[in-house]
Amino acid sequence: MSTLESLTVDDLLAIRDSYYETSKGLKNTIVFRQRELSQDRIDALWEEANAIEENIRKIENQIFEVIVVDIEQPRQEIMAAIQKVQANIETLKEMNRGVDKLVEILKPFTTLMTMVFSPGSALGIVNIAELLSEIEAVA
Amino acid sequence: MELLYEEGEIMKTKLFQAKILIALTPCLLVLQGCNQEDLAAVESLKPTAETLALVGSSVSADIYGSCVRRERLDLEVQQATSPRSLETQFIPAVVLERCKTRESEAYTANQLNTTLVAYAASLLNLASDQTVDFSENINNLGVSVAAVYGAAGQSIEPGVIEGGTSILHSAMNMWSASFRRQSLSEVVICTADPVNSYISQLDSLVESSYVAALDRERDTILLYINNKYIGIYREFEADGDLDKYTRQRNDLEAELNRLMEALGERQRNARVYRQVLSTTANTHQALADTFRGDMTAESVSSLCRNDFDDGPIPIADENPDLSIKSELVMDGETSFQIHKILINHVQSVEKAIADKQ
Repeated sequence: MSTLESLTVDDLLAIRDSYYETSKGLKNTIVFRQRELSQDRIDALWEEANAIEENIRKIENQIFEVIVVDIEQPRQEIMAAIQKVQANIETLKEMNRGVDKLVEILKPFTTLMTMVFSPGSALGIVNIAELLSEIEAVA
Repeated sequence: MELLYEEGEIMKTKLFQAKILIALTPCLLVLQGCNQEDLAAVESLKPTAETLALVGSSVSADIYGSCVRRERLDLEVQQATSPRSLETQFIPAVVLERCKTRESEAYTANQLNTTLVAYAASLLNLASDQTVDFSENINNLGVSVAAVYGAAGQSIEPGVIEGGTSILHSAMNMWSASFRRQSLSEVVICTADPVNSYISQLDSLVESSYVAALDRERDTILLYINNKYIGIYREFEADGDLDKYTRQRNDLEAELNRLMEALGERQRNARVYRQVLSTTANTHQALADTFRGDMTAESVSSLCRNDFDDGPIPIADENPDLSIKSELVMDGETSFQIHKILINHVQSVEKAIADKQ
């Protein structure tokens, strides 16, 4: 005799559907033949239908567990692929930031050149030191 | 004199370089356009990601909703026919208990769907031209370089900086397009099996948790309405009031139509979702086959071995030893095939949505 745990999803679905048909049949009997049945019989049929439905819920729980276990490996691989894509996008962004950095580096250098070469510039040591430290900070 | 001669030679060389740079720019721009075309095509996956996000979240939420509706109607029929059996039970609490598993199924289905949406979105992000745009920074670089030359009093042929900037711009974008394309093809090839298996399991979860539940909801609605009708008919038998009977019967019919209409909408939603899942699996497989081209199984296996443990994909040009990765280069025919696959995909998704409406 096989336990629920040893069955495949297809087997479990087949059992569930068969249970469901039984429960549906019982409920239809209750509703459509309620005039002919005694109240005790109706109560008993409901009890039976509820017990079958409890079994259906157990089977569905098992189906869910099997699917979740089966899906875990591909899920992890997809998550890893997403991370890899993100890493690649980060690489591209880094390149962009590299160009941006170069522009930043060149900006104070431009100012320095302007100071050095513009006619009559007051070339102060302190200013150059400041600019150089600015360049170093950016680089 | 000698110095002047040397300066003249340097100037000639600079002029020559400037001419070459300027002449090369349009060619590079044309090449860059061709290379980006296949990447832009992947953007047609956007409706898929949007549909999966929208329909998938409503389907997963309704896995629980359907259970609550069905159990409530079922218990109402039970209460009407067997009041004693539910004497000491509070219906809303019974409903919550019976739908406990469905709640976790709904949560899991939503998480699984979210992962699939994230995957489609990350492929889009990688393929998209919006991922990185070097234009502004490279233009700024050109301005800075020109300013340095100008400030330093250097004379330079007009157009050299501009040409150099354009070439740098094109080269950077070509490199990034090539990097994106290679990353995209490798990710798609290496996730072909996991994506297929994942989508198939997700579909199986939706089928077992939701599609079957909607069928049962339909049975329960019919049982509930029939039971109500039997009550109405009994009253008519007892009092013979035809007007009241007709009014109650019409109200019941309106209730049946309303419940069935809402159910039909949910069933159509589920169908669209499953169609989009299926077409996404097929498209992903077709893309993987096209990207793979005539690579051998061993090459694919080497390409994907520990693929997701080693960070960003190295570029073949930077790593001449990576001969397997160099097999990923796409030609015009491959790009054409990818366009065809994606156009078919978009048409299938649009058709599924149109059928629902």
